[in-house]
Amino acid sequence: MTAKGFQYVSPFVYPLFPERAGRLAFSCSVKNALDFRALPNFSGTITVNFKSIVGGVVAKDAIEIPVVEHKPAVAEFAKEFSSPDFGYVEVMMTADKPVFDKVVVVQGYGLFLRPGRGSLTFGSDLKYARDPIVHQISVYGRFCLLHSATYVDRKAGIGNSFMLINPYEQAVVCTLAADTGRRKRIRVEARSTQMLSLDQLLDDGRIGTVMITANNKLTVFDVRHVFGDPADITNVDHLDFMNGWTTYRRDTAAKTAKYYLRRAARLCGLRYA
Amino acid sequence: MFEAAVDGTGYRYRLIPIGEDGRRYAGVQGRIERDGTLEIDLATIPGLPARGWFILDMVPDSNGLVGSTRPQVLLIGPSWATAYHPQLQAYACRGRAIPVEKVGTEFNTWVSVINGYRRSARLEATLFAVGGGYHAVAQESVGGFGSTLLDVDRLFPDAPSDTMMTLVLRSDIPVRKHVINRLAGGAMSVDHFPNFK
Repeated sequence: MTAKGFQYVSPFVYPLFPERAGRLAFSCSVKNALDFRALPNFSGTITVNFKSIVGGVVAKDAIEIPVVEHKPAVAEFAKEFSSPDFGYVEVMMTADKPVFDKVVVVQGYGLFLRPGRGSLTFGSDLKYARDPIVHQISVYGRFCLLHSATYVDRKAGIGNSFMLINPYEQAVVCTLAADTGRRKRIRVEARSTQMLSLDQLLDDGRIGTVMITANNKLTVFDVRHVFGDPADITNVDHLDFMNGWTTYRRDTAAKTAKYYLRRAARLCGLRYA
Repeated sequence: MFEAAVDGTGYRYRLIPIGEDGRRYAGVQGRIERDGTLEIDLATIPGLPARGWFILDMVPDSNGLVGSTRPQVLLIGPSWATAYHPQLQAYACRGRAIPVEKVGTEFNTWVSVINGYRRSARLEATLFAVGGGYHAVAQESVGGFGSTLLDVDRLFPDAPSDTMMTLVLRSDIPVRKHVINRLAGGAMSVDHFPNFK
């Protein structure tokens, strides 16, 4: 019997900022992808595809890595991008035969390297197959993200923007609603990036909550920057999903007993996790 | 917008501050109603140590759907702000990696390690260049219910500059890990290590 598998893993989406914000750098670990997700004794070729989109201009690149009995010729390599403007990069691993048991691999992290100003670490987003989003759409029927600690202070020079990335083939219409009562509706065209300053939604110097709802998934990054200059960044992070989990779960007596036994074992230091 | 479709609920909460040495301090507790908002200013809680961590324990009043269980922590400096979210202790793990690079002469990076268990944790930090060449290991520990900030520059003073590296942090029991970048002008950027189950 032949084992079933996928020929690709879900692409990572990394944000791109104008070069003065820093160069984007990340590493691609083919070994990790094989260790975590590949079926045993794979021999063939893994291709790592890079697609950057800035201002509608698409640039593609690919690196082919031969694999012999699960051992890649190059275990891990680094990649850097400089950009003239805001945009994004998609990084996708494919194989010449079905080899991956799932399409989701360990989240990719990246750095913005800023000579004289230090480096900045952030996590990328997955283009497809995020379980919380699949769950969310099934519960709410809409895509929804929120951030409960947005903050703008003009006098102190503190700015906050959302970077909205639509890596899909159709435009997405989304609504941003803040706890100040202000709302904004915007359209993010297919394969494009928009920076939206939150000063139009928030009160100055007050912590606020902003929720985004949309008719399709978007990749959104929370960007902290110098007020008036969204390329002078101090932090890049993701927003939170509206999960739709239940507060309580009904379990069998056996499962409940197991839960309390494990809890007691953890408290006594006999078990971890 | 979801009020008609979603049955939410209120919560009881407790915020328990804990020092780097594992000592527990008096925190705050109370209620947050459905559709309510709560801001806790850690700077106003008296007697807290300079460094440490906190547990936020939230118990729902009744059955309902959860929007997000992760509150955001906002750090506000004189001319900068940064936000990060605490993680579920269930995401504590024994080993995860992040990319790091020495820009100029320094990494300017701390790794925060939180030990949510009674036993001390042994930590092993491994730093290696992505393209090969540099490889170094450092050992540290963090006490029971304690936390520590590992300065990557102190652990690996001889690491080369302008080289993409991977920092792997392993431990003998599950710990929570965050990365803190110290930026020019005193600003900080905070993010958690990857979650993967």
